[in-house]
Amino acid sequence: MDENELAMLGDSVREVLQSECPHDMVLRHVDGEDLREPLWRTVKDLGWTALSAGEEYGGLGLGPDALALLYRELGTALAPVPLLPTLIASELLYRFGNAEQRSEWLGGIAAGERRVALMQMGATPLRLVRSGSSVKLYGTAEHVLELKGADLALVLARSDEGETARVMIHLQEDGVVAFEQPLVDVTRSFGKLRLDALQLPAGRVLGGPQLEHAIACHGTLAIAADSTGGADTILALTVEYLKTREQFGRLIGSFQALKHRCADHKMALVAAEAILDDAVSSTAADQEAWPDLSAAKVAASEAYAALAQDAVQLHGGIGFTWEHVCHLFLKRAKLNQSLFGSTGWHLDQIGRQLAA
Amino acid sequence: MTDTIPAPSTIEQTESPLAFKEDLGAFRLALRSWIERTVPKDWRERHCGGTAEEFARFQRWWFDQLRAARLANSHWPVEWGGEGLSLAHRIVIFEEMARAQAPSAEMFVISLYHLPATLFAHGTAAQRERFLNGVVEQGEVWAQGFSEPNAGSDLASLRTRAERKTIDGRDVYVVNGQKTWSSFGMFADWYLLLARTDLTARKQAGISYFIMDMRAPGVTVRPIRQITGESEFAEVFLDNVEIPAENLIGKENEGWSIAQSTLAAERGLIIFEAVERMAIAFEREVEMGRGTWMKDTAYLREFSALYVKMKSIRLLVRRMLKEVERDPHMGGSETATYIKLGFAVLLQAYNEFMLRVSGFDAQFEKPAIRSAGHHTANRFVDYLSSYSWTISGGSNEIMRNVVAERILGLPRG
Ligand SMILES: Cc1cc2nc3c(=O)[nH]c(=O)nc-3n(C[C@H](O)[C@H](O)[C@H](O)COP(=O)(O)OP(=O)(O)OC[C@H]3O[C@@H](n4cnc5c(N)ncnc54)[C@H](O)[C@@H]3O)c2cc1C
Repeated sequence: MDENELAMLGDSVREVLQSECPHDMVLRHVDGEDLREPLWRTVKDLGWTALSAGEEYGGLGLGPDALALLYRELGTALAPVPLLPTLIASELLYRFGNAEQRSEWLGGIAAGERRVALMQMGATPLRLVRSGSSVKLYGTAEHVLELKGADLALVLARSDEGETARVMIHLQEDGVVAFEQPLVDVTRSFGKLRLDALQLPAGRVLGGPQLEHAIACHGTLAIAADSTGGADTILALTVEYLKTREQFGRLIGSFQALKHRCADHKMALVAAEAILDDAVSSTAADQEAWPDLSAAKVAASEAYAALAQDAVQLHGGIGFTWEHVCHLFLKRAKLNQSLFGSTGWHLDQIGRQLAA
Repeated sequence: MTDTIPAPSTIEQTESPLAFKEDLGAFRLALRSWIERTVPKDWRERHCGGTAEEFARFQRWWFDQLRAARLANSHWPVEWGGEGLSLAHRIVIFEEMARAQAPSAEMFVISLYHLPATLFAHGTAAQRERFLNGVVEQGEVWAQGFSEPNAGSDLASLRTRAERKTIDGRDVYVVNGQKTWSSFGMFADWYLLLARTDLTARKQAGISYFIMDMRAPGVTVRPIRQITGESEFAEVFLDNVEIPAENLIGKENEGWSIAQSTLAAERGLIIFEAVERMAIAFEREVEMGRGTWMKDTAYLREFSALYVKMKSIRLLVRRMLKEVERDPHMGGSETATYIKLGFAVLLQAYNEFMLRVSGFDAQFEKPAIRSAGHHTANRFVDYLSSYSWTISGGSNEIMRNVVAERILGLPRG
C-alpha cells in the first residue's frame, strides 16, 4: 500500500470506530451493555479480519504498516473487539501453515466466520505427547487472549523432548472446558482451558521455532500501536480539560506545573511514535525486525501508562470516578504493559542484542 | 455475609489492654491477645467484596469493639479525652493491628482525627462534650463537606450559602448548595460543613464552619462510584437545610482558618497509622516476593529504593509527633506538609511497583477485601485507591505549591 492508500485506510477505520465505538458506548460496555459482539460483526462485515491473510484466501495481504494503523485506531477507541488474536492466527497460518492447514482454517478465519483465541507467549505450556498420527495435550492453558466467544484457540504446548509448538483447538467440537478470567480492563478478555489428555490429529500442530517469534513480533507491534493511539487520545482529552477547568480564577492549564507535565508526556509520545514508525518500516522490509519492535513497545506502553496515570491526577476528583473515561485508558495502559512481553522482558531482548 | 455479626448500639466495656499500659511489653501481649479474641479469624474472607451496607455494618461493629476496649480514641491526647498514649504505645498498637491484619476503621477517620482537631482548637465546651462523646459513646460517623464541584483545590471559592435567620423563634442558619466527593458521606451521621456566610467579603473571609446533621430535612446524599468499582464517596445536595446556630464552630466568617487545622490533621496524624501499616506490609512483601520477583535484581533495587523512602517518611512522622507533643495545637506544621506529599507519592509508586511485578495475576478482576485500608490483597485496587492520597486533602500539586511558596518563599505563580 502506498501512503495515500494507507491514509485512506486510516480514515475509514477511524470513521467506523467513531460511529460504532465512541467512548460513551465503551463506558456502557463496561457497565454490561455488550459492545464486543456488535463490533465483531462490524469488523467482519468490513473485512478487517482478512487484513493479514493472502489474497488467495479472500484476504488483503496487508503488511505491518496497515496493521499498525488499524491497531492504533483500536487503541484510540478503546475498542473492546477481539480482533488481535484472529489477525495473528491468520498471519501464522499464512506464513507457516502447510497447505492442508491453510485450506482448513485460513478462509474461515479471514472471512471472520471463525474467531481465534491465542494463549499468551511465555505462558506455561501444555504438555504435548505425540503418538503416530495423533497428539495428546495435558494441562491447563492459562492466559488465553479473547477466549470468550471464540471458535478456535491456538495454545502453546511443549513435548518432553523439548519441542515447542502451537496447537489449534476447536473449542466446540473438541469438547474442552473453557473458563472466563475477567480482566480489570474489560475492553479485553482472558480465559483458560482445562485439557485432560485431549487427543487430536497431528495436523492440528503448527510447529517451528519461528512461530513464537512471529507471534511476539505481531503482538508487540499491535500493543505498541494501540498504546500510541490510546496515549494520544487521553493526552488530548486531558489537555482539553486543562483548557476548560478553572480554579483560583484561572484555567488550570495555565499552571506551569501542569503544562510541563503535558509537555513531557507529549515528548514521550512523539518519541515512541518515531520508534514505532521506524520499527514498522523495518518490519515491512524484514518480518523478523527485532529488537526494533521491542524498543517501540517499551517506549509506547511506558509512555501510555505514565500518561494515563497522570491523566487521572490532572482531572482531580472527576478523574477518579467510574463514569469518567480516564480509568478505562489507565486500565488498558496497565494491561498493555504486560501483554506480549513485559517491559522488563523487552528490555532484556534489547540488552542481549546490545551486549552480544 | 456479615449477618452473623451483630451491630450493637450500646456497648459494654470489655477488659482493655490499656489496663497494662504501665509496662510496654505487657501492653503488647495484652493487646495481641485482645485482637486474637476479638477479630474473627475469617474476617478477610468474609469481607472480600460485598455490598456497601455490609462494609458499613462491619465498620460499625469493629468500631464498637475498639470503643468497648477504650482503644478507638486512645491516641487522642488526654485533653481531648483520650489516653494520651506515648509514641511507643501507639507504635505498638499499629504494629500489632497490622501484623494481625486487623480491620482498619476507615469509616471513622473524620470522627477520630478531623473532628477532635477542629473542636479542640475552636469548638465550645458544649460542642466538645456533645460531639466527642458522640464518637466515643455512640460511634457516630462524621464526613467532611468541604469540596464542591467548582471548588476543589481552590476551596475558598466555595459557593454553598448559609444565611442566618430566625424561624419560629429559633436561631438557625439556612443552607443551600452542593458538596461533593464526601468520603463515606452516605453513612455519616454528622457533617463538617464549610459554607459562605458573607457574599461581600473577600473569598476566604466570608466562610463559616458548621456542624450539620446529615439526617436533617433537605439533605440528599448520592453515592458516586469510583474507579475501583466501589462507591466510597458521595455528592451531597443541600436544599434549605436548617442548622441550629449553636452548631457554628468558632465565629461567623472565621471558618477558613479553622478549616486549616482540620486539614493539618489530615496531612499529618492519619499518615502515622498508614505508614506504620505500610512498614509491616513491606515485611510481608519480602516474605512473599522472595521466591518470585525478588530474584530479579532490577526489581529488588527498585523495591529497596521504595524501602528507603518508606523509612524516611516514618522518621518524618516521628519528628512531627515530637513537635505535636511540644505543641498540641500546632496548626500547619512544615513537617506535616512533607509527610503528606511524600507519603502520597510513595503510596502510589509502591502500589504501581507491586502491580507491575505481579504480572497478569494482578490484572484479573476480583473482589478486594474491604476494611483493609490500602492492603486489600488486590493489587490493582490498591494501586487505584492510592489516588485518594495524591488527589484529596490537598493534591500533590497543591502540596508542592505549599512547599515552594509558603516554605521556600518562592514568588506565587
Ligand atoms: C478519594 C477521594 C476522597 C475525597 N474525600 C473528600 C472528602 O471526604 N471531603 C471533601 O470535602 N473532599 C474530598 N475529596 C475532594 C478532594 O479534596 C478534591 O478532589 C481535591 O481538593 C482536588 O479538587 P478537584 O477534584 O476539584 O480538582 P481540581 O482542583 O480541579 O484539580 C485538577 C488538577 O489541577 C491541579 N491544580 C489545581 N490547582 C493548581 C495549582 N494552583 N497549581 C498546580 N496544579 C493545580 C490539581 O492538583 C489537579 O491535578 C476527595 C477526593 C478523592 C479523590
